[in-house]
Amino acid sequence: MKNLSKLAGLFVGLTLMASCEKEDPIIPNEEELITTLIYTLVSQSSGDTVELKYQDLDGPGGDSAIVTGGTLQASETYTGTVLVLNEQELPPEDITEEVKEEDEEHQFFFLTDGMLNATIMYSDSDANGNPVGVETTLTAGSVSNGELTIILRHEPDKNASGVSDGDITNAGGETDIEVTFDVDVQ
Amino acid sequence: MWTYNRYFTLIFILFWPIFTVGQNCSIILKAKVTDAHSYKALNRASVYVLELERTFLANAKGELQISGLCQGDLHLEFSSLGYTPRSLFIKLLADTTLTIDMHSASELIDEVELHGKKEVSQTQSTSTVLEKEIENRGGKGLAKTIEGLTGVSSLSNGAGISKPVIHGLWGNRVSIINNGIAQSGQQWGSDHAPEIDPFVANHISVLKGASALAYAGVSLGGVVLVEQNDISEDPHIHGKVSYIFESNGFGNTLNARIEQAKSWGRWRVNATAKLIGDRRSPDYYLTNTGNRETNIAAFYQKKFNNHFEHQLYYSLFNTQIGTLRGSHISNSTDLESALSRDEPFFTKGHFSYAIEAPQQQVQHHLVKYRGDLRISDTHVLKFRYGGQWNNRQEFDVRRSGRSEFPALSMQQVNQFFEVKDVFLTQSQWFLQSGLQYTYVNNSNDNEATGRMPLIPDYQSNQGSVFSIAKRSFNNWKIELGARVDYKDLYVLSISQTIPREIERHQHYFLNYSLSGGLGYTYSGGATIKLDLGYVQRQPEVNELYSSGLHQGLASLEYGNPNLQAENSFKGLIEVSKRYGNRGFFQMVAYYQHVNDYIFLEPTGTFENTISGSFPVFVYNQTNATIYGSDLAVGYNFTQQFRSTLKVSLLRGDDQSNNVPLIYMPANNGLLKFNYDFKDSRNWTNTSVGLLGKYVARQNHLNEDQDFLAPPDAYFLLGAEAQTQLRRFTFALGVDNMLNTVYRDYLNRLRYFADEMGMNIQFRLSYQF
Repeated sequence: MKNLSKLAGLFVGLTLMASCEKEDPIIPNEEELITTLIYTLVSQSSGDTVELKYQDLDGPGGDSAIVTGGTLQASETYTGTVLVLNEQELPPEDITEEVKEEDEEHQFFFLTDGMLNATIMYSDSDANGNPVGVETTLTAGSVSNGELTIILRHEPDKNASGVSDGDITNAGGETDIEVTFDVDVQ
Repeated sequence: MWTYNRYFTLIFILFWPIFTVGQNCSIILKAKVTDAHSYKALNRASVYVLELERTFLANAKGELQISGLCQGDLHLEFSSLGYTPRSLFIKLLADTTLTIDMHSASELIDEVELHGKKEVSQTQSTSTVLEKEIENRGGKGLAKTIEGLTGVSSLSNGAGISKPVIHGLWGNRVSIINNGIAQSGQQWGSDHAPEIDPFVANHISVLKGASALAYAGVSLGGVVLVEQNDISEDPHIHGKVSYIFESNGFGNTLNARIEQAKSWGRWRVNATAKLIGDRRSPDYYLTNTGNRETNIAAFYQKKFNNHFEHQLYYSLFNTQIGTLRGSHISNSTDLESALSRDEPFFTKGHFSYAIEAPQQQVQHHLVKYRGDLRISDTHVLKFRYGGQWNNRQEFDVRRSGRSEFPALSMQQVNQFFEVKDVFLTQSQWFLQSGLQYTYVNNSNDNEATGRMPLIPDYQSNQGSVFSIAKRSFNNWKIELGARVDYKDLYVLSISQTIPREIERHQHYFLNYSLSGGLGYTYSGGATIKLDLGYVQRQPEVNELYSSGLHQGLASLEYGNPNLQAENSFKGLIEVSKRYGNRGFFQMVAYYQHVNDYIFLEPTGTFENTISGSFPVFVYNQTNATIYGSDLAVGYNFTQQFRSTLKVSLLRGDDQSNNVPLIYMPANNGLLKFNYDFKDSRNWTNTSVGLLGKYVARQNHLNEDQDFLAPPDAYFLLGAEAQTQLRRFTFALGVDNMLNTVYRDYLNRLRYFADEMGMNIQFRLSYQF
């Protein structure tokens, strides 16, 4: 019985010893995070600028993203540039640079739903002559209203049928970005 | 068993001078082999004499005789089918007669020796995998080693990662006890395998009832006991080296085990190294599905006089496992296109040992001390300490060379203390009472990952008290138990919104568990067992606070801090009968009701993120029932030609929502034929076997409950052969002989790829 009480004492002692305060976790520096995509369209005739913007500063979960669509002029041609940012960093980190550095492993796709009358053509290429999609040309057609979806694929098969023409069907790979904008053509 | 051993040594030492007069080579050694419980003669027993490199067989009365022996050392290995082999070392000096009692494989659960008798649970439904099976299948991991038992299946994430499922429950609900210590790691995930090397075990038992209240950890869904035998008292170095080759994945596994008894104590060292490459389905390579392991375990036992015994154990489990490259997808659009493919994305046309992201690297250390203080013949005090350190790192495919940095990096420390009092009262009640304390500290290395953690940092303290009473009345056995757990959980999470802040949460849980068991043995040898248990389980941290993206299934998972404890009632009846040499029959029927069953519920909503939209899953509670039956029948056509049929049926329902439970094992059956050849002078333990396994389609599921309909039923054919030539054992096994293309409902990779094709395994062991 004496042994038992000794052990019980040890037991209580250990319990107290272990229940000390836990240190706070370190808040991660999410340098890989993508918070923002901006598709800037500059009219080739007037120089007017339209900005389509998707911004989710706290990443997945938390507050919802803010999505801003835009209005294009019918029969107008625009020079398009995609900018991808991590705005949790100060100043914001330009993720487009990372994409350009690994351009053979990345490709943006621009998909319109059946309603929107607009055509997007690639105007850049990687070392193999395949498109990347950071630089594009958008031609607005007749008056319409619909959705434009921009997808960034990591490690797509750029040689698969149709992929270099912007058809995502056979691309494979992983989706890093997939955002959808409401677009008006007036 | 070793009181006996010591007794003989003692006699020989005392009479040494008398016996050593003159060298004598006409000594006769006789032995009678019996069942330790019924004292029935084991007529299928045999003994292998290491010095003679010969096997001797028992006669119909279980008697063995070896004549013409000289004085000197003898190493004897007794074996009998269905019994745990026994090794014995003696110094032979004169004619000797031994009585060897052997323990049936199913009895090997946490035995306690009191009054020279082994006290084992007689009311729990138990199934056991023995050493031979562990040696042949151990290379496939713990869950795959035991999945041949009725009522046991495995939930996997490819060939390298699987965890045991007992009667439909797994993860937080199944406790895995490794050498007496509850395994503690990241057991919540379906893609986290238990960090245990099966080769360290001599036997692995599964307790299916809910009444295993003496074990720390939650026994609501059953308990897996990974146990090893005591180290023999043989003063010479002995051991076994095994090499296993697998054709599928060109796998190589090397295991070595050596042990010795010295004056300063007995020791055993066990080491395993494993290198397996990409597995192959019948039609294509499963790219990036290799795994590597290096494990080591050291065991030390020392007895001080007759009263105090110490055991010290250390093990390191160290693994690197690849996950099918094509299963790493990033949103629901990707998932849809992956589901519609015949061959997974990123499938390479060639074999490779390389492991790239997605992959996981895990190290698990276990230090254990056990001290048994024998106060009297009827009273033992046991002290146990278990320290565990688990380091898990998971790597995703990431941009800009970040695949080298872990996407998840968690370190968990677990400290366990137990004091147990084992007492046999004058009225023959066998009482076991204990105090347990468990401390867990889990931390994320967010600096290394650069990501928000999926599971937050936390710390918990748990104190438990339990008491179990057992008694036999003639043919009746009765067992009653109660357990109380008090747990505090302190969670430090990071806010989902910016600016990021630390959020602190505190939870307290008080759980009660009760169990009762009744066993009756008919004079004809039939037994009936009834096992009833009520168990409470508090929600674990993943159920309360997990938050984030699950890459494998393109879903967003959120914990629910408002969850309450689950209350489970399980009732189980087991009826078994042995028909002499003709065969056996065992049937288990069970019913389990879980009030407030915690599960991951699809909310039906999608959350938009910059990488697309994801279905949202939140942990919720419902009332669930799981019921089923396990059947095992053995029929011996002759003494040598035997057959076994095993059937497991199960059905799970979410009663509140009136829908089936997801991830429940499909009904399955296994038929096996075995032929044992008679031992010859050189070749022993020779047997061949053929087995067929049928797994039905999981039809008890609604169409809208999963991304993909459950896979079709399948039938697999396998074969095995084994023989022993003196110290060498050769074993050959073939899995999926017909190279059948199939997918298994409980394999998470079924969404993306077929299961492994034919796999031929060859094992060579050398015993010394």
